[in-house]
Amino acid sequence: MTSDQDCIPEAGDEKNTGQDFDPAENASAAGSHAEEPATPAAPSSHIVMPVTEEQAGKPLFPLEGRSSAPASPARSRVYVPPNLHDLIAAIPITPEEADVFRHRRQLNDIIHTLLTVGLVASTAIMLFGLALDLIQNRALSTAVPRFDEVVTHVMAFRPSGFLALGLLILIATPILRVLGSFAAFVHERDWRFAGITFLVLSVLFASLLFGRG
Amino acid sequence: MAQALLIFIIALAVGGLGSMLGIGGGILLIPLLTGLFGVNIKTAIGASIVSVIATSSAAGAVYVERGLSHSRLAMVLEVATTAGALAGGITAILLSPHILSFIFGLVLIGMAYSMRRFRGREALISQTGLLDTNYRDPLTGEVVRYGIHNLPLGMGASFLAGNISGLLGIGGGVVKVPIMTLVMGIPMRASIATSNFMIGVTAAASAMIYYQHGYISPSSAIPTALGVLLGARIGTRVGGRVRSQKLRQIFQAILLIFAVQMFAETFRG
Repeated sequence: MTSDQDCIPEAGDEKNTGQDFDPAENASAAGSHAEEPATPAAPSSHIVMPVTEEQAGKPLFPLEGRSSAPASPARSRVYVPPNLHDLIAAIPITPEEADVFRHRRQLNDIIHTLLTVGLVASTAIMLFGLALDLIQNRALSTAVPRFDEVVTHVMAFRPSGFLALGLLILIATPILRVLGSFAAFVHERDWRFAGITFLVLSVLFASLLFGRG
Repeated sequence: MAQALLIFIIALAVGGLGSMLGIGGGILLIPLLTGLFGVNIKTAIGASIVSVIATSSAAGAVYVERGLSHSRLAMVLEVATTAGALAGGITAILLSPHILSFIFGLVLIGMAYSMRRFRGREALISQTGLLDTNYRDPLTGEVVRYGIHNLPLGMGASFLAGNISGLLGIGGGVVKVPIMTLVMGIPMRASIATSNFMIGVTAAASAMIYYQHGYISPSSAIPTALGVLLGARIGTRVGGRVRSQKLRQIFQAILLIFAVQMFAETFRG
């Protein structure tokens, strides 16, 4: 099997990278270059800047077989500066690798947003439903409407509708994450993993159907 | 109303304790809901499943930011976990509450035992050419590169974990994380993050079954989910993960007490 598209492709011997890596050095290097303008190739908020050997002083991330030999022009060193939300500091990678890496980070940002929005929305709707239930009934509903009746209940402003809607958004959040993965794999033309993800979605759909008993 | 408030407070405590011990709260919530509030075990499982999804999404947002979760591996194993959850969920609907209580008691004992033993070293972490990936360790800054060992065994264990999750409404991380670290050669951090992603999807599969059979009741599920969410948040802020042996021992004792309680429920009425 070939290497994972999600990943920074193999760039050195793992033992060596592990031992030679110095977080402090990377932090200072990242800080000193943080003000540099982004290259036209990387206009996104996750700035990926090419750094030459002299700029970095020495290799940011010495790798076996590369630390002594000069970097070939095709594999110029690029590093991704850290931002507040990311502890990933500086990894020497080729521009192609940087593209993969940026793509991975954009995907992670989307997933992060999806999960957060799902949680906040469901919590807010459930709290609203609870408040409505207490005001209207002075007690909490013990039953939820069927899937197809949830919208009707919400339209009728019944507390059980909002409680069910909040619960369903909560349940749907991980399913949406799988759907997002499916879209990402299709976008990457990774048909094998698109197929695997489709299989997961099929099982989820089956539990929706068989769940009715 | 008063009961919902009490459930919320207990879920708050469970969420806090769970986050300190690095476990989901389901294993504690179900015996508490059935024992203290007389909630039907299937409704308690429904409430637990919902809270499992909530904690998975909340933790997932953090893990994904750190790039720790291996989404491709998760997807492969999810084929097994969701299939297991589908089978487990349907089985749980069909089984009598007494038998479910009995199985739950057995799982509690198994978990108390595994907590004592699970101190093993991680298996070889190396690239295998199968789903190789990497992440940067948030503490050491080291880039960890790894591949997958023993995938078929991992698939089997995932099916089992999904099955237990669907049957009993617990996350199943207790089954998956040891297998992933000890057998599949996945580093601990990546295992926890990947397992967390899988738990949410797996629980969603069985949650849809429980929902449609009316076992997700707002009066228990919503206070539970909100309490666990808030509790886990407080737990991570206050304590982080505690490595204390004493806390683990107390937790084991609680599990055994709950096991006895579940066996008692098996033979009641």
